[in-house]
Amino acid sequence: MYKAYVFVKRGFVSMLSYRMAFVLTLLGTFVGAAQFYFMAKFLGEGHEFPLLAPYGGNLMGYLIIGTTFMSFVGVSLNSFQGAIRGEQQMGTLEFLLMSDTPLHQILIYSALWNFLYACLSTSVIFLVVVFVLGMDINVNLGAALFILLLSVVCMSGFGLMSAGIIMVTKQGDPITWAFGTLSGLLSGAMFPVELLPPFLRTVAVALPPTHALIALRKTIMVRAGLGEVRSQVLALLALTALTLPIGLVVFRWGFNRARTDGSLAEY
Amino acid sequence: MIRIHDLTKAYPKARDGRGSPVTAVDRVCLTIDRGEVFTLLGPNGAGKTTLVKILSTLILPTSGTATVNGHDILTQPTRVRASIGFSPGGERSFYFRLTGRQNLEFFGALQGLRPPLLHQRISEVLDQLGLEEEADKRFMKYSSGMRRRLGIARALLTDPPVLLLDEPTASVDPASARHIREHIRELKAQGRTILLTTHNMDEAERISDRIGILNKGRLIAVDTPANLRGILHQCRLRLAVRNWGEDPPRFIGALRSISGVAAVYEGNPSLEVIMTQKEFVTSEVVRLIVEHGVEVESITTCEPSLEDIFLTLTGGETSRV
Ligand SMILES: Nc1ncnc2c1ncn2[C@@H]1O[C@H](COP(=O)(O)OP(=O)(O)O)[C@@H](O)[C@H]1O
Ligand SMILES: [Mg+2]
Repeated sequence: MYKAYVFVKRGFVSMLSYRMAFVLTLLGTFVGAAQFYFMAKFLGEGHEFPLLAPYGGNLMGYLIIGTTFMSFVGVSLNSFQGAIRGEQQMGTLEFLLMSDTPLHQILIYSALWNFLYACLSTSVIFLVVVFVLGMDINVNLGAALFILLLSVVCMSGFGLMSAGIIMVTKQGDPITWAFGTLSGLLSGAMFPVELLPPFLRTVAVALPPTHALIALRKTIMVRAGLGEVRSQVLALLALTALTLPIGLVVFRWGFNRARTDGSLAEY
Repeated sequence: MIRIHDLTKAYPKARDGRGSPVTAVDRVCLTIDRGEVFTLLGPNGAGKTTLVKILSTLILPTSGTATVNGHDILTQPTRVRASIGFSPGGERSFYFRLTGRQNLEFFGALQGLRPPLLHQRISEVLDQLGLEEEADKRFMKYSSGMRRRLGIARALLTDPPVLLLDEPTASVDPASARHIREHIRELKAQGRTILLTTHNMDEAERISDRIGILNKGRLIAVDTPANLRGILHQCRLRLAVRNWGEDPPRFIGALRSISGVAAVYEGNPSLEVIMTQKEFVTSEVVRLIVEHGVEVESITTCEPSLEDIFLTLTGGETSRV
């Protein structure tokens, strides 16, 4: 736990050292929240959204959950490879590997900071839209956090694959790119999956964010319990059973390839 | 303390992208005793870093193996890591935006140290390397010498019996280099085994108990500085010849037979004599020049480069102009 603490502290100290950037990011978050508020107000004026009925019919809540969740998709996909690249650029990766902390722990701790940061900015957005702009939510916090965590773990399988590939190729990999892009488009972040043509809907079912978003919206907007989002939870668990082992195998492979090539520290 | 057995590392792909394999370490055997300061001396590309990184378990060898503090680098990497302190070559191995102390705190925690022991060790190593005053400045403000010292301080955090220091004085000004060498001597006095690398002959001679000369991955000589003295202090005499006299081959043969001459390289119009004993050889050469009726335009002496030393050690098989 002390190790987790020093990682978070490192992230925090580094972030504070870019004070201006930090303030601007926070401001950007406020502006983003306001933008959604007005957009949803404009689109929602005098309209009903039958497809949003399961989520309480609240367009603004629908959109805000969609976009904030995409930042968690980003965290899951990019934290590991980002951590590796960052350490390579600092020249510290080899030294981290020399410590008595196993590599997977190092990755988790590094990702922890990104995760906390995403939680922080998401909380800010929700505080603003709920308390300042007066959006109605009806949240089952425990269930929502559980779904969030489960989906982050599930998508981290892709993150591990990406990290494994990047250690060998030293450049962005097509798998995560495809996953990230498809998720943004098909998983229902900005519009319901039901609007997609049938074959794209099949693709959507294979994407963890599709299930995560349905469950999150229900737990946040209409106070659903885990029982009510059972099928989404099961889908996420099944996908995790697939992505996580594959991710670990690909990652191990990349790590050992880099140790053989002697290119661990290169980027 | 460190036993290296028939260690070879062939990188599958060369860095230049041509894709042919590169043998960076070639069948190296070596034993380093407890409490010894051992220096790997070799020019850039000799394979020093590769060898040190293999011992640090950062690079997997192609064949052969090694033990560090009795632990095998292939089968017990975790124990090996627990026995060593490693200071990588190069200056980029810290977080630029954190202070020296924050960096040490971070890396120390990763090594399994916890407060209050962690903070106690940090002040000890900062004190030992003379960095207390700079400890709370950000790493990016550090000079090269300070960065190296922080690297050694970090290697010492866990109080390991073996230290692997890759080029501890590279790109550091002479005064700082001297300080670093003093620190290395103190570390030896504490009974640690130290393996360091350098391409500086002078430095190797000054701080080592033994020196291993590495050339193109091969360890071509291992001995004490005293025994390598002749080789390390060899000197090169360059003769610009105007007239070769009556019997050039006999002249060159005579030069080669002077005791203290390691090698003679013929070129036209110049001639190079590599010698391990400056005064005696120079006067003999002059005597032979006169005796064989050779006319020379100039005689110059130069300090040896590492390459000259390799030529001597390998018997001059490498071709050269
Ligand atoms: N990761 C790598 N991939 C391919 N070739 C490498 C790699 N690292 C080092 N080499 C090559 O191996 C040789 C030894 O390099 P190195 O161990 O860095 O030597 P030194 O530290 O003595 O300068 C050099 O020819 C270098 O180009
Ligand atoms: Mg090197």
